[in-house]
Amino acid sequence: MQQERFYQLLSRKFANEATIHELDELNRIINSDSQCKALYDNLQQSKSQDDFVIQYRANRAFELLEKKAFRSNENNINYEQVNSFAAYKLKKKNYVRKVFIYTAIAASILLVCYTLIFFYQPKYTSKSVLPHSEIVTLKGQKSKITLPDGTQVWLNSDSKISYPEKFEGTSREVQLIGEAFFDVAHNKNKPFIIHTKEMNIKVLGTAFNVKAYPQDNISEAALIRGSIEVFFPNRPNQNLILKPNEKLEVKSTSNNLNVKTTNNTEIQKTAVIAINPISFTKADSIIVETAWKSGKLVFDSKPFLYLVEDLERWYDVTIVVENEPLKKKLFTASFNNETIEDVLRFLKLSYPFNYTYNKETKKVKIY
Amino acid sequence: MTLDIPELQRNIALHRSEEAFKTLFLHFYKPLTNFSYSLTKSEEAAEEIYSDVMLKLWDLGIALQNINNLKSYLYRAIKNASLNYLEKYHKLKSIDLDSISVEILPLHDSESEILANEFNRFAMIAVQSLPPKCQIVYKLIKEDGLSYKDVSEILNISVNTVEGHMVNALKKLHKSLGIFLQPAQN
Repeated sequence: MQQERFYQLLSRKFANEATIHELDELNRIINSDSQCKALYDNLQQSKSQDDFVIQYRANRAFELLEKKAFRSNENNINYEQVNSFAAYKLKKKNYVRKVFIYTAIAASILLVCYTLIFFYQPKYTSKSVLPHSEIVTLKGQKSKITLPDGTQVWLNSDSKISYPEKFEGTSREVQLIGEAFFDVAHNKNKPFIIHTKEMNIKVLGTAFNVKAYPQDNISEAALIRGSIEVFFPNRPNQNLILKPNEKLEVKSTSNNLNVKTTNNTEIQKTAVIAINPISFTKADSIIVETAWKSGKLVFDSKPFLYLVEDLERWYDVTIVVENEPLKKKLFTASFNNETIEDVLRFLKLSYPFNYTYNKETKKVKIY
Repeated sequence: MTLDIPELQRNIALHRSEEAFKTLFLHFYKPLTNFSYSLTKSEEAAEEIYSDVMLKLWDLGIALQNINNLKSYLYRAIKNASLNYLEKYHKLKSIDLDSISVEILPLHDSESEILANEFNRFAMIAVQSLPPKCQIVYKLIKEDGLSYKDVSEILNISVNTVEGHMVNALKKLHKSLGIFLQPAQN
């Protein structure tokens, strides 16, 4: 009889239906019956957990859904269906287009006015609005820029940096999307600040690498020399100072701040911010974080799933992985001017997988 | 982890918030594709069905406000779409949950994770020998953390029947795991 009651209470507990008294009763049974306790303990532990593969797949699925909604609509535009996601997307696209056209018109009118003012009133100067420059690299491209203050920036593939044409005021501020290596010109009075989605980085004069692709889960900053201060837009008063040869990783989508250093024996699974040493490859001691600058593609114990993201940007290809165990395998490798097919062939040697590569569509399928 | 679902619902219905829609999509992705997979036993179908259901949800527009329990609504939509899929592609007639086989193995958990825990492996086998409805009830309550009321709405059975199935599942599980549980005690 007690057994029957035990199952009922356990069932209610799992469904969150149990009252306080029932939970009490359940506890009493568990403590008095070792068999019941064993079942309870084991079932409690066996809850499956979310991992990064699922998050990744969910995001992929959402992207597919957006694409699907879009495609079906371009072939068969149904304006009456104002509620549909596809129509909404298309409307929004048209809206963006319209805004763009109007902005362009407004901008050209402004430009004409400015030119007129400039020519007819040579004494007139405007200090309030400074034009911004924007440098964009596409997938498979890299670029090197020298900013107005002499700071040198190496911009990796699929990235964007915007900066004012002249640094005025008390600081030098730039916006970065993607990955870049900075060698900042020293100027004590004007700190250099880089704004990214997850973090802002303040420096006086130093060299370091920033990786902040919006589609990636982890943003990172790796310091080569000097010192930098990192602060987070949505967490004031939680600034961090980074020392040379340290690397900061920030996992997006979380709000609580946990710091994990390599000396800390207690490794927190939930860490969203981690400070790690910069990785050197074992064979030729290249710094992994900045190898891209010299045209080298380097991985150090990187899960295949993340490695694929780098490959996609580096070679401007689309990669589909349909091999679950492979996604979690860690790879260490260094490439120099190899083609995508060479890279896949080499990776295949350390862990066997199959792939197809279509040169025209630039699509790779791994299975 | 806890999500204000009614708030998201309002944002999608009234403000057509894409962000809210994405949050909802990502939140339900795992349990609902798993649920569909347990019925269709096809990974692609499960994903396709989930996407379709979510698109239709967006298409509801302002009517989305009228759904009282979005969670059980989505589960029901997934159940119906999955059964329709079986009817269409497997030429199964008069489909109901008692007559089809159910695949309880979670779709997204990596193999190693399951095999690493010996208990999970035994539990999986034990659960699989339960009747289909029993399996589904067990999965929805134990894995997805749904309430009796949610499950009763999803499967169209009374709350008492839900509890009956769950009790039955736990009882049988305990019985078949008994031998395994004993040495773990020492």
